[in-house]
Amino acid sequence: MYQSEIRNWLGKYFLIITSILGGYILLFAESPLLPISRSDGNCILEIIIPTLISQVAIVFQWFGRGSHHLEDIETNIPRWVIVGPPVAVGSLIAFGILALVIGNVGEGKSWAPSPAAFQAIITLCVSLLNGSTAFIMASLFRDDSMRGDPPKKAPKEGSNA
Amino acid sequence: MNSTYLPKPLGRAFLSLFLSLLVSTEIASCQSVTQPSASHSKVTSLTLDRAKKIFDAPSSLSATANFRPSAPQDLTLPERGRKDQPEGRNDTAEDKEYFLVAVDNTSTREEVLARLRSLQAAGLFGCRNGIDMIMEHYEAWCFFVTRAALPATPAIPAAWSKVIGNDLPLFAWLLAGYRVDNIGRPLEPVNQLNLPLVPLAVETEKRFFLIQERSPEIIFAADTSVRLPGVRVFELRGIPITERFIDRTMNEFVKNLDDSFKVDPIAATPVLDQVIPPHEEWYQRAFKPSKVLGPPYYELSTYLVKWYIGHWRPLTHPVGGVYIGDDLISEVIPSLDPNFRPQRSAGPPYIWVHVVQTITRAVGIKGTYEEPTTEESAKFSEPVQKAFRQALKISCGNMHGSMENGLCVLTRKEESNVSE
Repeated sequence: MYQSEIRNWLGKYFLIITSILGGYILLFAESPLLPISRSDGNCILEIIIPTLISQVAIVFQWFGRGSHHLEDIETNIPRWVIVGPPVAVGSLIAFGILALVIGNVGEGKSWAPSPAAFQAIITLCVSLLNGSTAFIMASLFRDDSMRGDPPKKAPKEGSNA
Repeated sequence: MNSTYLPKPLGRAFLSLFLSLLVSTEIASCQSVTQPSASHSKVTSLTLDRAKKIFDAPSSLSATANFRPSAPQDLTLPERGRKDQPEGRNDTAEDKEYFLVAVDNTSTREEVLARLRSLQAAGLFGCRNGIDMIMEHYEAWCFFVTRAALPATPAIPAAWSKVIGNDLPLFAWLLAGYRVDNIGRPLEPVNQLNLPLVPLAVETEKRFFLIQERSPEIIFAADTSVRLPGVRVFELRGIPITERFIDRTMNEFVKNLDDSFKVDPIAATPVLDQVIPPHEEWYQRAFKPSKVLGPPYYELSTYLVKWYIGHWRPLTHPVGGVYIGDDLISEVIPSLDPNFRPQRSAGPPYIWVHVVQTITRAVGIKGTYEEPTTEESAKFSEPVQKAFRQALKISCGNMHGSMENGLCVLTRKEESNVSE
């Protein structure tokens, strides 16, 4: 995978998941679509949003500096290392919300997760991101100018990367 | 949301020792302000330590874990109270006086607040059997710690005002009791005559105070009369109050209440699998979707229907007079002889009924069950009143009584009809 490809994928992922998750919790907490109290919803936001927002900030800072014009190289990082953790986090959150919603339909199911269990899932997601994708982000969205190295020039048009 | 937790036994013991040392140091540093006179030889202790002991003691019953009671409505901070008694005893043998102890050290205050918050997060704890001194039966009680906002002009004891001065009291941390059923589900707050509130701490605008308790030099005579809430439901016009007739009347009323409470949106069923004290009927809707509030809310609601009639107590009984509304229904008799009856009638010939509704709701079936907001409570009150009135109307009709201003009047003629 090329670095630009990974950056684009991760950047879009963090932007989308931050917007969708934040909006969903704020809009639907204490409703049948998210049967947890507003205070539990705010608590979940406080757990996950700082992590997600910091990743979004890193991405936008990098693109904002114009660093995307720099040389693009192909990395030998396996695809699953890049894609795996974000997909796992997205799936866990989606599955958690689904279990909450279905478990609280009608008379309620004995297997319905409690708000505390859902918070634990979110905490697990944050830990998973911090222990995996955060390192990839740090490597791919590194600010070279801060290290004093001269920025590499972008390849001329028509030349091979 | 509640991320506070109670540490493991060893850690808890260490924390307890550490806090005791901190608090003791703090107390020593402010003795000149708040401590009783030096000549006082009685042992003093913090009410917070008492709450911790109750929390640590083995409980005879485990209460519903995710229930959080709110602060008592009738909030009067007591200057004196009673020492916690062993299970099954709650007599007035050991009175306690409460004193304020200022905690001015910021780190100590934070440690104490953390301790209070962890007790508050524990919900109901320390369940035990207690005696309802008013109705004379055993009940299961649990304790809980709550932080109550004080009114703008709080009724605080005079001795405390001297210590607090011009500072404005904002919150009081309290240890209170909640009556539960035989499987630990909440029923109603314990009457403060049976289990008085124990103040644990007071937060003012600028300072923080813990409460210290000690045995008083003088045992104060307690005001033992109690006024129970309730409404007149049946008037027994010209009918003598006999247990047989009252039982028959109430059986009819309860039968119709069963039907009325079963209907949506109350949808509560009578509790049949537990030992219920005499003159009470319990209805419950436990961990079911709330038909009053709609999704995603679930309910843990209990409706206690209590009825009162004239009854007599021995002279040594701790509760002297029991009143319902404006009426005296209890008389002290100078004898322990159960066959003795006073000459004059013990109050007007009415059957009084009081419905206690303990509504708790959670978002999601596994959420924390908390008391609803005032607006939500109002939504519950209306159907309960409607069901009550409907049951009364049907019962009155079945017993050939006549409804007069919401009261069912039963006369001697109707009694003979019912007897037939």
